[in-house]
Amino acid sequence: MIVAFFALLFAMAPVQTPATGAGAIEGTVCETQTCRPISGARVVVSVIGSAAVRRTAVTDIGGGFRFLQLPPGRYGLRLEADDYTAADILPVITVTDGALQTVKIEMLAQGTISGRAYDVNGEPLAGARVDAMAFRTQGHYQMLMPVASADTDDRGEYRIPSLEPYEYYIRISPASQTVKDSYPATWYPNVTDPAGATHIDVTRGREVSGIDTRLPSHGVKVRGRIMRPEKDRRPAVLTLLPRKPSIFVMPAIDANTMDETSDDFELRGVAPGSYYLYAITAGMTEHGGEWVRTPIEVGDKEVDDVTITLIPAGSIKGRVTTAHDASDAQNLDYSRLTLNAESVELVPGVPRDGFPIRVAANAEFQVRRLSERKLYLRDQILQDTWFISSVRFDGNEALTGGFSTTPGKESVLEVVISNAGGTLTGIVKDARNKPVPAGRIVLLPDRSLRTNPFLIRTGVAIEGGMFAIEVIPPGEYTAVAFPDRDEFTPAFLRDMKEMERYEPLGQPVHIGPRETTRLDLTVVE
Amino acid sequence: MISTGIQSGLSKAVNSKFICFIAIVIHSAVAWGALPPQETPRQPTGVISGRVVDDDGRPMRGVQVQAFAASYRHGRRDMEPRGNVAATNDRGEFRLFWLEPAAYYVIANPNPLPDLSRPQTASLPVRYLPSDPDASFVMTYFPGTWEVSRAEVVQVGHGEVNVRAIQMAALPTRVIRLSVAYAKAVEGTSFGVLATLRSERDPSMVPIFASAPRQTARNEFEARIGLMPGVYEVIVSVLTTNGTQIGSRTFSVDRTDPEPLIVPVSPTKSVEGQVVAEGNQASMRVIAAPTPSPLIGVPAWTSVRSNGRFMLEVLPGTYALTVEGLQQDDYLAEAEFHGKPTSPSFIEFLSDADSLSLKLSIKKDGGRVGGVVMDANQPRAGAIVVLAPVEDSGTLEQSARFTVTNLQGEFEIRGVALGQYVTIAFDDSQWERLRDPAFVKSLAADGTAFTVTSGSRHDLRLIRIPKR
Repeated sequence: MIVAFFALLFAMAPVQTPATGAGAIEGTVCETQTCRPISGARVVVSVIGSAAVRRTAVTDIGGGFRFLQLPPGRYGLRLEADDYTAADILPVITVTDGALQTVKIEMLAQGTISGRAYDVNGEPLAGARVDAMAFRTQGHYQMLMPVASADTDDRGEYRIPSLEPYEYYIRISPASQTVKDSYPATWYPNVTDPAGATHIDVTRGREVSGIDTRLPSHGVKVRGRIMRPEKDRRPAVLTLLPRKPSIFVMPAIDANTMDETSDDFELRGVAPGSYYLYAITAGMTEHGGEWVRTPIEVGDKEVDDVTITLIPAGSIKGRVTTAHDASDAQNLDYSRLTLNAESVELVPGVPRDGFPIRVAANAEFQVRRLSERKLYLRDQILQDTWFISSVRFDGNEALTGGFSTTPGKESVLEVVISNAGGTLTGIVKDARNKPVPAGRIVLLPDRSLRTNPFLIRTGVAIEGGMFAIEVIPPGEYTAVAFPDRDEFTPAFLRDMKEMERYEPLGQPVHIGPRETTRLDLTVVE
Repeated sequence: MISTGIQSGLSKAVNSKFICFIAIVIHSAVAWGALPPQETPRQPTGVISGRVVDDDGRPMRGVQVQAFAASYRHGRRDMEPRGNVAATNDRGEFRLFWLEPAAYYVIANPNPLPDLSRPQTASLPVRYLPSDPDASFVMTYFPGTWEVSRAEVVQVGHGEVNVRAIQMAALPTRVIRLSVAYAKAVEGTSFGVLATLRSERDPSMVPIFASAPRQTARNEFEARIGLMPGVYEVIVSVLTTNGTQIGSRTFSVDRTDPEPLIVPVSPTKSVEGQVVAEGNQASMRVIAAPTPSPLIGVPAWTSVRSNGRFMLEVLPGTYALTVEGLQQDDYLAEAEFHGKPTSPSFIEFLSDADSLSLKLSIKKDGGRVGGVVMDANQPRAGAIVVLAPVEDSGTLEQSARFTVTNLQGEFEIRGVALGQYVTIAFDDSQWERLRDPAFVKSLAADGTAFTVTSGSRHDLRLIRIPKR
């Protein structure tokens, strides 16, 4: 006891002696909330902006660490511990003469998923890639994205550590699509369609083991040839994407083939389904890539003699006009207008927040090299009080139906805009008739317009539960109000499927041109 | 890293203009390191298992580990990646498999190249901090050394060999500042820069470091690397949507950070090639090593398609070509560059031509040379055997053939081009002496010359290893 006391005194001595002209940092590393100590974490302190002083320590059994004899200065911390991530930004510590600075650093524990992969015969699947996938918001969509990955070893075993607590899906895929023994991406427990996958709940500091996946099939081969105009030597990358995916999934390894020396191709390990075969010929265009595509049906037999012809992407020539009911149209500066187009399909490339189309002063616009995909005009309000009231593509209605270019063809897009919108105001209240500040309001358009997912309008109530949504295209709507809760994210409120579930709890409302409609709303529970 | 990782990574990056847009267009795409450099035989059952720990014995996760077999080409010792590329798990464990019985070097790389095909969204990997805050963890050979000359081989038969813990080596951190000078302005968008370091001490093509350096200003980058004083070569690759620009330079490191390095880069040239061979041409690889000095310059390699064609991206210069993955009895007999016959071991890719075309002819009419290497009356496993043409036995850089003896000390070289040869045997640890022409010449003079004719077989017993 006495020895320990002296040892402590000795250890503390430099700190308590200002004569040394040095300071000290002492701290503990522990888990958030519980503050259970984390031992064996490595801590580095260094003077910010200089390599002059840098020291390392490893936390003891009580999670403690200490740096003595530090010259005065501003110190940054670096910290590393297996299975933990820092819960916050690490503090900057100012060390002064003779002072002892005390810090507490909290870290978050993470989880692990482990298991095995088996081939169709029940043998261990060696060298397969395993992805832990989670839903993430990508632009307007919820999409399953890989969060972490590992490979199976020769016994088919894998471990994926360092996972934030969340719901995960496990996908097994060949480490490379070019291997001969390829197979379709398979989801835990044993399906090739992600809609049938079972999710895994990872909690803090726990390992979920026994997540074993067995391949249901080897898939089939799809063979064919790229046809191209003479002298066209552009390389093409081929990739297969589901035509009507049940769930949007970031494709495993997409470059199924990228042979620069031959136009013959063989895609291996393809699961039955309806696909588009994409031949991608340019990567970074302003519209996210250039490709042609052809539909393919795959059953349980090999598919031969597929041809895909490289034709330049289509283009759009367009014009903006004003509606009959528009006022003051002669003062409209068209060059200030930007239309935003967005795809709702899973196409090669990362789904983005669409791409802008700038309108010229003469009200015309052009889009070149726009590859085939279903597009909608998003952001119905253009500026001030102007909104898109109708869209025609090659003469057909396209505001609700959307549009798509045809390879090698120039199409005409006519956009009619109006400023004869209406306004909806009111108060958002709860069941006990109390106003709900920051309550969310969703305006669902008439059923006939809902194929365009971008026609939903939303608003947020201010103090006193008051809200006002302006520049609403005249028509019939259903208004639904939601309380101020985290789960009602903007993406959720713009999800047409989710909103239709809440629709019976909403109130129908008519919006007239240049009229203000008053409607108080009660939040759903 | 090293490994499939780096090699294929680099070859992909260097050899494929295409990779660029795939990496962008398709987010999870192909990527550096995703494709093995050649189709690995999936049958062999040899396994090396073990753990990687830091300097305190704590397990390190996310370290890339791979087995390499010593190989020799053009008089130079190299390392061939074998089997899978493993990443240590959260317990620091790894398993290397798909290995044929042989002697392997095991290399652990704490700074693997980012694999673009893997999720980049995950929480950051644990960035391990050595106990010496002025040091950085570096590529480490089994049993725990950064020096290739102190590395030990692991003998693998059928079954599992547990090498236990490999302790990661740490070296003083040096800041390497790079300034990229373009010979030709980048057309399109540049979206990635890759810096690869090789050490003069290690003549193999395995880089000691390969990663994306941190950008500090326009065309300026820096990387923090653990380095001993010595001479190094840095290769900088700039990936653009319009192809790759690449360049290299040598520099020396002292006890302080080196001066900022200006690295001139220029666009690579596409060489459209065709391998002419009988039968199956799958899983062949064409390698172009800069010659006469393989330590200065940028090697290139690519895989041969099933139709025999390949596309090689090289900087203008002279190269020695080899074809790997040939069938037994096949050998690279002739090369034709722009319709003119040329030696495969000395081809000049000129810069002015728009497209470069190359034909490589594979023949089967060679002879076979086999035997046993003895060392103090014991068969010697893992010895280097050199089959040197008599008229060119000094440098070994041209058409000499190399192999390594198996666990019984036996070797066989098939597909030997017709001509007069002598055989020389070395201990693998003497590989440095292969660089000394006088020494090699004196050994060759001691050997008995023999003539390989079409289909001839030569059984050479008892080749002795020279004393150290």
